Amino acid sequence: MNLLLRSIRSLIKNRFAASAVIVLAIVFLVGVFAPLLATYSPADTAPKDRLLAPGSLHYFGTDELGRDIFSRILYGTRVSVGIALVAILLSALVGTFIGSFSGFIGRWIDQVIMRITDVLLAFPTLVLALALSAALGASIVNAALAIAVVKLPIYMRLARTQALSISQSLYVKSAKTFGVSSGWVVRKHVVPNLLTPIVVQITLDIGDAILLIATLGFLGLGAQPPTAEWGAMISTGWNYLIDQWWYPTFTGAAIFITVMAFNIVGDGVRDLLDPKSGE
Amino acid sequence: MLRLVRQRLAMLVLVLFGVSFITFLMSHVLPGDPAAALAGPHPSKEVLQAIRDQFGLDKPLPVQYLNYLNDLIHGNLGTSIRSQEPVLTELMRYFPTTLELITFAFIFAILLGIPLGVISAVKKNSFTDYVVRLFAVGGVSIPLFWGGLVMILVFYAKLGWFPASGRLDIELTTPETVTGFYTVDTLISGDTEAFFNSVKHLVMPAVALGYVQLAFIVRQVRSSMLDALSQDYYLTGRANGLSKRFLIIRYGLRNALIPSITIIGLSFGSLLGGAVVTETIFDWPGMGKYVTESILGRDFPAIMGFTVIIALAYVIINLLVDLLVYSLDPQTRK
Repeated sequence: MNLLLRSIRSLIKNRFAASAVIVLAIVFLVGVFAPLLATYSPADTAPKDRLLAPGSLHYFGTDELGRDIFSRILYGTRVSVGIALVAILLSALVGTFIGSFSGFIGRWIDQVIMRITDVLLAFPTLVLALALSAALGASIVNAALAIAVVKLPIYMRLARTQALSISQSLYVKSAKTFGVSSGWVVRKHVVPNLLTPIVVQITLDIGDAILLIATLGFLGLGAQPPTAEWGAMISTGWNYLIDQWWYPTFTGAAIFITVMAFNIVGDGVRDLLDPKSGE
Repeated sequence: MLRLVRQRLAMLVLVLFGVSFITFLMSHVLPGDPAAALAGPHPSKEVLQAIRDQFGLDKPLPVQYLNYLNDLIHGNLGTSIRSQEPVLTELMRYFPTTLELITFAFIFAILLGIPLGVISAVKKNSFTDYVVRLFAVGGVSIPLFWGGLVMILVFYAKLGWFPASGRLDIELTTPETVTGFYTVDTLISGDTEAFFNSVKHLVMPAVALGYVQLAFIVRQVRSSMLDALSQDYYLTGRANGLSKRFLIIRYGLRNALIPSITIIGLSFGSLLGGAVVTETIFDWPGMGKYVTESILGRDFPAIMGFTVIIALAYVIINLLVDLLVYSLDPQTRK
């Protein structure tokens, strides 16, 4: 009985994660095949078809310039998810490099680098991203850069802690005692042990990065019109909320579903690797 | 305790120096032409040169930084391009408004987050647990601006339960400013109608903003509660026949709350970031709305001033949380 109950539960739990993975797969496919799936061009305006309600011609309706919202959301996947991925990967790469360097070298360099992370963490994430994008000038590339900077301290600290504990671990010490070259140690012990927590952090951060990109776009600091980016679309769409509810609603739902899927997968990956939260 | 306060204050000063350095980089180094950024749209050559002279932008960067630091210490955050008023004066005017919003958002997140976290831990891996956790993940997945819009669509446009914008209906008189919190000021002036009206205005923005932090609180309380419930004292209590409810509340919750307070406290500061979006959507006249309007109006000094003040508020709030946690924990209290 108990066993049956437990397997049913784990099935529900796995179904969560499994459906999230399926959603993500669909999101990626949509991004890649956007030109094939789109029923209209995302940029073509049609003044006499403006603000049409959802129907068989325009699945999600049209916007104030008569552009097809469904097609714009499909193309927007490339921008929003793509840019978020690039920003996080950049941040993880640079942060891991600096952080592990800091952990291995130690001494004053480590102190300085850690104080830098303190300072970066002294701003609420969104506020720092907002100020950086404003300073660099509003564009999607600068928004991505800002997000990479904002996420940097997380990876620096994570990599540093890992590097410290790995370099102090018994297996690395004994490997050194046996005269194994440090290149070998780094490749065979340090990198694999460092990678797992970084990858977990990346999966957890992508959802957040998509939200940040969209929020900057919404505030007018990210993608500029006429780029089909989710946040920027809602930024113009919310003026039409009361009478043309479909305009911001479908676009927001696209963000919500995508980010939710990333977060559920991220949580699942973390639980999988964290023995404490297991059954 | 006193030593800790002194230590933390020293750290605070160090961090604030760092913060000033970053905001300096953002305002003086990153923009291609800082003078153009300060001048606003379409400045003439003479205006640009005047700004360069006024702010010493032709001087070497270290000199500029010292000048900048001197200004900051004297509370000079520059002048808003749109209003020509000192940015600090404007921000101080909006600060209580934002503080009221994030306070209510925080209260909402705690009142709902702690019980949900406890239920989720007690009913670990049950259907209830999954529903609670899914609800919590929703909080960190929903774009704040869109969540707010959907709420307006449903609770204002369709159902008409709550007002969608502002702090008070226009036909009601604004209370005399004492605290800057309308909910408090209306009570002081004895205007109960305005009090209930201001609470009504707070509901939607506070819920939208608080929902994001709810997720972190539920996750944290759940995990500390799971820890507490697997301790020997809980099992001993159960073996001695004490009721589950008594043990969960009296022992489990009390022990689970100590590690959670840090996360819960930090979430208060994080609300400052979300307030930018929430205030814009709900037309809440605080610092967040001020900064989005500044972005639209390309009012660069206002954006940078806002960044400095928010970082300062964030750092101070987190310091207070830190000291509070420290004084609450019996192990570190002495």
